[in-house]
Amino acid sequence: MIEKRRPFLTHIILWILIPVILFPIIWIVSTSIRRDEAIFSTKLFSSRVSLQNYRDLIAPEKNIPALVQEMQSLILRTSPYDSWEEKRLKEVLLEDIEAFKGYLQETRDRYERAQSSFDNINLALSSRSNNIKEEVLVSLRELKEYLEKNVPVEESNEENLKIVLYQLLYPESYNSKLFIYLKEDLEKVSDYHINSPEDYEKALSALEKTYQISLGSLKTELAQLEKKLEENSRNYGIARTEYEKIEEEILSISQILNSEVKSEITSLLEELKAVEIIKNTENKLVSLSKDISPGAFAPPSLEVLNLLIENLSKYPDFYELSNSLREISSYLASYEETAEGNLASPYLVLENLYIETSPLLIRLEKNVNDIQEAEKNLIALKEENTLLKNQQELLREGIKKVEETLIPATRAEQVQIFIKKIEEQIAGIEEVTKFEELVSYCVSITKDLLNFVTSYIMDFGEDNLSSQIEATTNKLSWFNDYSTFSDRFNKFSKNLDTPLEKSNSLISDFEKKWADLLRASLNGEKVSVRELDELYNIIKTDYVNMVGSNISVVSRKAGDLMDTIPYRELKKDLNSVDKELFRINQIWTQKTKHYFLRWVKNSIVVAGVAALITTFVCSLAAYPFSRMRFWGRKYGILAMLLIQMFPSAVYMIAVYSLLNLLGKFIPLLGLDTLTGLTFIYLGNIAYNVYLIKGYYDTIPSSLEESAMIDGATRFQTFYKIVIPLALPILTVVVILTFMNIFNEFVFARIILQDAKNYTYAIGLWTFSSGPYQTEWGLFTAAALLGMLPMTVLFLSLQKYIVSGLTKGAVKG
Amino acid sequence: MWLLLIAFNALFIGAGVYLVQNSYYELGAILFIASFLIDLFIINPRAYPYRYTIPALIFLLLLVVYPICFTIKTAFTNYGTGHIFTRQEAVERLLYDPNYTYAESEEAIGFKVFSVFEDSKPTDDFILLFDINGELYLGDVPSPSKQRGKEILLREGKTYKVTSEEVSVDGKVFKLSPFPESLENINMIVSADKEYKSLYALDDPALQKNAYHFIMLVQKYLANAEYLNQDQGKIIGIRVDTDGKWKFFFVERLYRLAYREIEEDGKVSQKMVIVNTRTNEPLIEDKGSFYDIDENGNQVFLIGYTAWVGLENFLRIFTDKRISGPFMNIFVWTIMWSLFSVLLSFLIGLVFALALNNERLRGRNVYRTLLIIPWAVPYFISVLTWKNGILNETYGILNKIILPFLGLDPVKWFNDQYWAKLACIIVNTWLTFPYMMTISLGALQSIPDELYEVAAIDGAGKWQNFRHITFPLLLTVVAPLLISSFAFTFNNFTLIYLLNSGGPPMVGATTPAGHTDILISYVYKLAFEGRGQEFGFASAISVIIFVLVGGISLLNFKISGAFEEIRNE
Repeated sequence: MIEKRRPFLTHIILWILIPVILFPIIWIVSTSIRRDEAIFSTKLFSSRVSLQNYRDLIAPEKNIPALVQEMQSLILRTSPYDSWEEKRLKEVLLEDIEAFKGYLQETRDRYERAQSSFDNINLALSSRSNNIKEEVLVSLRELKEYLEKNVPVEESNEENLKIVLYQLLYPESYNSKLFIYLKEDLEKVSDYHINSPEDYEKALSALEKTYQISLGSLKTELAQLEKKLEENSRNYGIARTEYEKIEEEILSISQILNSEVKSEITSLLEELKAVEIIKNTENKLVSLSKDISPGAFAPPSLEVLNLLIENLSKYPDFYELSNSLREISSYLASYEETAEGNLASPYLVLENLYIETSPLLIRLEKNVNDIQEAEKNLIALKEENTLLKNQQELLREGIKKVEETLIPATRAEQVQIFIKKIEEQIAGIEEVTKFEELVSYCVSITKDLLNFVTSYIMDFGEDNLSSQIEATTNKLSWFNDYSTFSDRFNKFSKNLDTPLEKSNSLISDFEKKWADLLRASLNGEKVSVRELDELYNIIKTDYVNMVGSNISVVSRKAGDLMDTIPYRELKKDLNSVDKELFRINQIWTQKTKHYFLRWVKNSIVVAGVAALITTFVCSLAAYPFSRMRFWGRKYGILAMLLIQMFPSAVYMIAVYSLLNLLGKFIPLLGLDTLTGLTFIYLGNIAYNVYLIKGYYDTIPSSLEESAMIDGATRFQTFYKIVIPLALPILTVVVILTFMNIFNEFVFARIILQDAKNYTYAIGLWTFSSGPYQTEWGLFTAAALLGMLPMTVLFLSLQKYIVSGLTKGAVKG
Repeated sequence: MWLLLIAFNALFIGAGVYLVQNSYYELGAILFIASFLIDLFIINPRAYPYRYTIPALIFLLLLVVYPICFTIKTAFTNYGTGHIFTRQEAVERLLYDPNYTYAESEEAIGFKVFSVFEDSKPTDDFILLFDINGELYLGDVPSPSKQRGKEILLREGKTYKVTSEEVSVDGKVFKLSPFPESLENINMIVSADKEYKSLYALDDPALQKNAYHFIMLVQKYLANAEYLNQDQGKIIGIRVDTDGKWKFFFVERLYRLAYREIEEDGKVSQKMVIVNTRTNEPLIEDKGSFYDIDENGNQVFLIGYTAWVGLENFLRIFTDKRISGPFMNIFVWTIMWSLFSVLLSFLIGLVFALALNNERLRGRNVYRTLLIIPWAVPYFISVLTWKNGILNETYGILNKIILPFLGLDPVKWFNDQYWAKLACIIVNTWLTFPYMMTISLGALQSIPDELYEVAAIDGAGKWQNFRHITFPLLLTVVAPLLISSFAFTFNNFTLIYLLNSGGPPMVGATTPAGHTDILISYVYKLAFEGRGQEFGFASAISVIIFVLVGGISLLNFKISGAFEEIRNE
């Protein structure tokens, strides 16, 4: 049983996988027939189809811009028209003018047709205005009912409802819409009958109590807290600046102490050290002490010094300073002990130092006290701040929690408001009589619906309710499309007249003048054609800005409406509007220039010639390998195959410089020539020889032998007997080589430079890059045109290709 | 028939000799070999079978053997931007190119151009009249004297002193009128059947309207021309003066050939060198470049030519850090890319092949044809479609429609190196799995049913069947094909180049290397897309690819038994 079920499963899997795998191909096909600009569309596929892309590729139409340009060139006789005769120029000019007029007429006709379809649509819609109204009302009522039924009312917790209502209503006045919407609820909750602003106030104040108990008190608390916080941070700021001021002062004092005073002390110390040394050399000590006159302040100075040391050593910043002083004091003390008399000079210095330093130290002390105070203050403020912040956080969390409990009630009220709004809209629509009004109503409704649903989803997440509203929105969205559609169509029809009229008068002016102009131009004068310049301006600016932009919107909206409008019978008219406008646009817009046909022709010529020559050469070379015995027969083909195993892409430099060299002597075989490219493609020999030889082997040699007995030469037997018999394989080789070369990219890319010389492969590559990159229509259509024949050929010659790849798979 | 052969030989050997003279040795040798073989095949009746292969042989030699030889040779040279010429060409340029001259004095020579007018339009038939220190000289249209291919390196003209009203130039008589007069006032020169009217003179306001035609004549005939003035033994050439106008000056060549004693390897020998005529010092020649010494004693690069550099290109790959880094990255990625692409596509192809290899499956030919389509569509079309329509980072339907639909963020398919690599592998797998499927299908069908019957008797399950019969037998058939696929993917330039051009570029590499570049696309970029064309270096990498692919192919031939197959025929 399992055996039988398996293929079934395989079928299903394959049916799912194959579209996925072939998606790029499906995309090419579907995009190539799209009428809209696929690259900017957000849809994978479009129902608006046309073959315009193919027409642009294969038979580009001489539309209005092209005609104007051609007439311009004809009159100015720029190349290639400079070599034309007068008669021919005249004929073509006449034809062009006629064609131009024809296009103007066509534009008018098509515009009229579009207008009548548009009128039809309007008429049809207006005539069933009542029906439409009813339908809109029905869907709105349905939505209303659904909402009413499914309002997530939380009857159990009336308090929450009260809070929510209060929050919604307290900024509103008695006459506000919101109050009217919520009146009923308010009355129910507050047990008041509200008939006057006073009642309203009373009801609100009743609610306020409840509000205050839970959320209100929290909120006031939060507000107070926030006020406190603000004050705190203000104080903090003040304290901070104060602190910084003191800090600065301390720094400046310590700098004085540490630099100026310190240097004095250091020099004193050094002096004392020097004295010490002298003291040790006794003789000189006497002479030194002579200089020192006794002073009155010897002992107190030492005290001063000690005081200074004490004061300084309080601050770690002056550690070094106090150490030096300590050293000095020990020196001085030692002098005292030895009773060597008074050392006047150091004491003097010390005295000065003390006078200098003590006010500083006093200030320092004060400042240090101050800064300690300030710091305490700062820390206190900071602590307060964190405390307050914590409280704030807590409060916020509390509020959040409360608010979370309020969500159901809020949602209920929001929906309630929304229901009232819908009711209002319904009431409004019921009074509408004109279709236009209905449309504008519906547009605003869809906007409201959309706004509500987005904010609803943002606040409460997606649920059945939101999807229900979305469904209704989608049902009504065609009004939006329709409104833009008709709006833009009216703009378009208003704007179309001017360029048409202008073009008409310009072309008839030109028609009167062109013969003279052409004659002047033929006489070698430089002429300028004002009419054509103006025409070109109209096409390039007036039309594009005023008409073209509207047309593209109208067309797009028509396409959207075809999908969204609930009246299928209008589809035909919509399609007709779209079709006519699309055609008008095709007539008037400038097309990007390309050489598609030339590229295809180049490819076919190059690949065809190279394939024929290759096949000829290989059919010759394969013959002896099949029929004769000679040295190298066994390994000849293998050797060739081996040589050709080297991927040709690797020696592109060699090929490039070979053509570069040849081009210097034989221009025909140079770079950027198709003949040179063809020549390069002739090297693909080994595998084809192998293939043909295999087929020759199957032709019985008895035929040739009998012919030779009849007197035919070897060569005659070859081309009269073997070749005709081998025609099938030769055809296959021609086609295979053709395909290989048609699909070749690397050499064509390095050899060809001029866009006119490109092969199809390079041309398609330019379609996917640069200015054409966004023209998906052209690109896919061109791709499909090249792809189709090649794919069909491939599928029909599969057998040979597979065996070829299994033999010479490395060949690139 | 014989005449044809002689003509053919003459053409080939003539061309060959010319090429060898101009240092295109490989191509010349190829032509010699070709003509020798052809003669041998045609003259020797015993070589009759070979006659059929002559055209094939010519194409093979010219388009396959020669490029291979050329690539190998170039790998050992510095061929590339700045080193395009052969040595001989470079020398010729130094000796003849008007760029390498200097004006002897700053004083310009007075001149006037006369031209034949047709329908009041000036033509290219012109005559010059010079005024050298008050003496008049007639100058003819300079004729080409040094050519290389179609390019004219040097033209030479002569000056003829005007002594009377009539001047004779190569037997033709030119009559000046009015005469005797100063240069400004002479306004017509009449020769036998032509009238030359004044066309242009520097200071004549009436003639300025022809300035454009004069500049055209300068560009066509005069810019690379030298007029020899016999009386003074000096050369007159036209140069752009400081005021931007073309004027004639006495010029002198900067470089000339001279014999100098050169000390080489301790031996003193006479050698031809190029000498700077001003300093009389020989030029310095080093690694394919000529250098001159300027006043400050600095070496100034003059011109380069293609020279042998030995293994330098190969050494650069390994020694130059800024090259070896990117090169190793590219090398590793090339191997990873080939390996993953082949394995992944083989895996997917095999799964499909196993699914389709079920005779009970109805419509399997339809499925097979549908699944082959990605392979059947021309390669570049598929790649361009993927690039432009599907993977494009802003417009591509994957980033624009499908990924958002699945709730995923857009992916940088081209500008993030890892995603870019993945994109390459995805696209290549899509392109090649049908091939893998086809060959696997073929291999599966060649497995005899008896094996499964025997296995069924032994009670083997499905998995065991696959594990012990299908897979090993499949692998023996498919392995060589997988190897050749590997080699093909290794060099799949088209996909890499078209999909992403090897981007995103690597940061800090001195050569144009990208993160998805494989060796062959790296070669392409070096040769054709970098700041300069580094043919030599690119060829060196090509040679490395040669060796790798050749090795793989030989190995493959061994495995697939191609040698035996041929031997047994």
